[in-house]
Amino acid sequence: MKAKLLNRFSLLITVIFVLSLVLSACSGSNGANNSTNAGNTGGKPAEGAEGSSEEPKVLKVAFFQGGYGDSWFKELKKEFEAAHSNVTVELEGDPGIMDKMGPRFESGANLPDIAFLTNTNWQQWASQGYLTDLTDVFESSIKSQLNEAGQKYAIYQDKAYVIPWSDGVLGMAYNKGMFEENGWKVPETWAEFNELAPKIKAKGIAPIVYPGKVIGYWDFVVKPMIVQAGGFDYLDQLLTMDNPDVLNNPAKLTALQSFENLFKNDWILKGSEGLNHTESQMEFVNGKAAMIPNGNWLEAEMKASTPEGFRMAMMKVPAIEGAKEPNVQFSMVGDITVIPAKAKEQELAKEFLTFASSEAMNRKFTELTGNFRPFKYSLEGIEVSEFTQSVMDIMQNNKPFTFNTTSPMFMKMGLYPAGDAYGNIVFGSKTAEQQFNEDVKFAADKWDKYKEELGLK
Amino acid sequence: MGIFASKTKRMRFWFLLSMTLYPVLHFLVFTVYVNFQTILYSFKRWNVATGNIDWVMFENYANIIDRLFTDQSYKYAMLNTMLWIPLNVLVLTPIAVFVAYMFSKKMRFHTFYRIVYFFPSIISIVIITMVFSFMFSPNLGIVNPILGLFGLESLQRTWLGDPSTALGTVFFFCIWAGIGFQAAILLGAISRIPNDLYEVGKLEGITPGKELIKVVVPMIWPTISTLVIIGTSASFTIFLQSKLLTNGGPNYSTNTAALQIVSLVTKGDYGNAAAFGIILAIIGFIVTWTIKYFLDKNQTVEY
Repeated sequence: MKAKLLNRFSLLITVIFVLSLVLSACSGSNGANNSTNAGNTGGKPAEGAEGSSEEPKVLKVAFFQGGYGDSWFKELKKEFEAAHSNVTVELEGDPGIMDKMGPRFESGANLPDIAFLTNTNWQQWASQGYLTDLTDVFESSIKSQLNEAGQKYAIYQDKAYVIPWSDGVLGMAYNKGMFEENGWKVPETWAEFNELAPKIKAKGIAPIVYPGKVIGYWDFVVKPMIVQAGGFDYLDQLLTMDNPDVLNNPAKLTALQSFENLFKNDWILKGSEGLNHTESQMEFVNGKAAMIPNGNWLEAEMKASTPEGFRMAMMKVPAIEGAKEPNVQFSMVGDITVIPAKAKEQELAKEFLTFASSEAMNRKFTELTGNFRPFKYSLEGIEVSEFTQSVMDIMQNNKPFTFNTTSPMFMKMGLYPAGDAYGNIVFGSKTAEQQFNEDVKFAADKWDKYKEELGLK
Repeated sequence: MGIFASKTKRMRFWFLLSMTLYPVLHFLVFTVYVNFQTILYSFKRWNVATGNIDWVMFENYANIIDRLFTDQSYKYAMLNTMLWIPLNVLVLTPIAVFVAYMFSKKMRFHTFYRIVYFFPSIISIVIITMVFSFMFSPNLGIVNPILGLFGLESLQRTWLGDPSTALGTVFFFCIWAGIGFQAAILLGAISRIPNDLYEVGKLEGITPGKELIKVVVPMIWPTISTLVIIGTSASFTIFLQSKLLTNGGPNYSTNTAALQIVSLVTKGDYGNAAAFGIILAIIGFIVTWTIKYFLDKNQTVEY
């Protein structure tokens, strides 16, 4: 009996022992992943540095390594380390970081001190307490530098949880070489577009190509039309969404109908509906279509496959007839910088954030990536491409707007609550008017239920 | 002292422990824990506005069932998932049986064909969907020009972008990419059929077609029924093919239930995603079990 008990006991001990071995191995390997700079890990002051005011510190900077590459971050690291002799900046660039940040926040493990991410459901992170409240840094040193859209974007539920990272323009790009060769004028209004399109078609070229498999690109064209037609008042109503009737506005219907017309008039490259974004951009740079709904990253994204001598530029989305605001631009503010609430080096991270928002570093961003920061800064003396120049011109000469919202109802309902508006219209399963009416009806039907689900009742 | 009495026993104990510990832990964490969490999640709601996670009991389930009848994307998701079962069971497996039978006849270049057929199973699905997508691309692809070559211009179309052909094209991809794997398994089973059976058949003077139906199929029935079960249950988890070929479009016509769950998760709507997952699991269990019941009735040959 006693022997048996002892056996059980020793078995238990063994299991616990092996378990702890396995688990500690796990956390050990995590730790190794964290620190790419061996010998300077943990962020703890080394014993020898006792008494010195300059404790060596490690600042972990994570960033989405996409269209902007990593050159700006390398520059930041170099300059920040030069200004702070005791700080080592560890960079973690990852194209897949957006899939990993959620779990990292939830577990609180392996968190960077500061992260540069693409736009995501950060409002949820903020309300769950994963993000440091940056209101003090925002008010004291960053706000005055930010442009209008950027300032607006930073504030969520009266606090600044994110600082916008990049800016740009969503809209349409056109084949500048082709336009100049044929003496075509870039259309300022849809009426002008309607005149131009048959001329383009007569040359055997499609006026527009779009990626049918990523149909959301039409947002870049339709949303500006909604704002043109409805003005900023309507945009405010939409983004506040305090009653279901805001969707029942002729501005939205007009925008959807002029979108529908593009298809009715057959001004779209045949087969567009089967293309993904890369394929559609290929058709564009190969001259099969004159225009494409896209954003300010297009040139960089297509660098490798653009034929020699191809010239492209961004254009403003043509103004709708009777537009209240003909000169608007869909600002791309949306990529974010955040400091996790559980970051070890809070103060240092805030300093880094301010440093990254300085004029010199903003200029560097444009210089190194050809893209923009949502800050007011001079671009004088920076050499940019024709395409980047066109983006800059649009940004400087038009009123920016975004569809970023703090309204939980708009987040849940969206602009097209009855479903895939663009798909329905493109494939003819609904007309623009049917879609519009169904959106209105859906919003009215579900209003109370959604309100309850959001805890707003 | 029990298990530690002798060195051999001790060694044996350590050996068994080291062999079983990992699979058991893996099972506990990634099967028991994950599934348990999913069930819990399906009764909760993540609130974007307040950050709270509230218990909502069966509301998520009611939501999903409501959407299955009213929301186009959900309707297509469920319908297509259900269509995948006959595709796997009634189309893919019979073709694979036939292909495996042809291989077993050692026709000319049979090794070459075996490699060709098995190719899609070893290349990453991301690559083969990309190649396939380019083949069917409306303006750059080779499928439309080939049709033109044979004077079939009227058939040229945007295969993956036309709601009337997209699902068929995705199905075609699944068959094309799926034959190799099933055929390899079936070929293994066929090669174990004793040669005397064929010889008896020959003496009786049966045709190859009859041989396939009367000799080969009954002899490999257990393997076929395994593949049928795998094919049925796999239908409920299929999403990568649609995701990569058409992104669920055009206009949701190639959406699948699993893909719908993926998009719910991406939106942060964990509660509804979990509820849909559970509903799907229940349906999947019933369907698979029913098919298994009828397959088991029709067993089995001993040799």
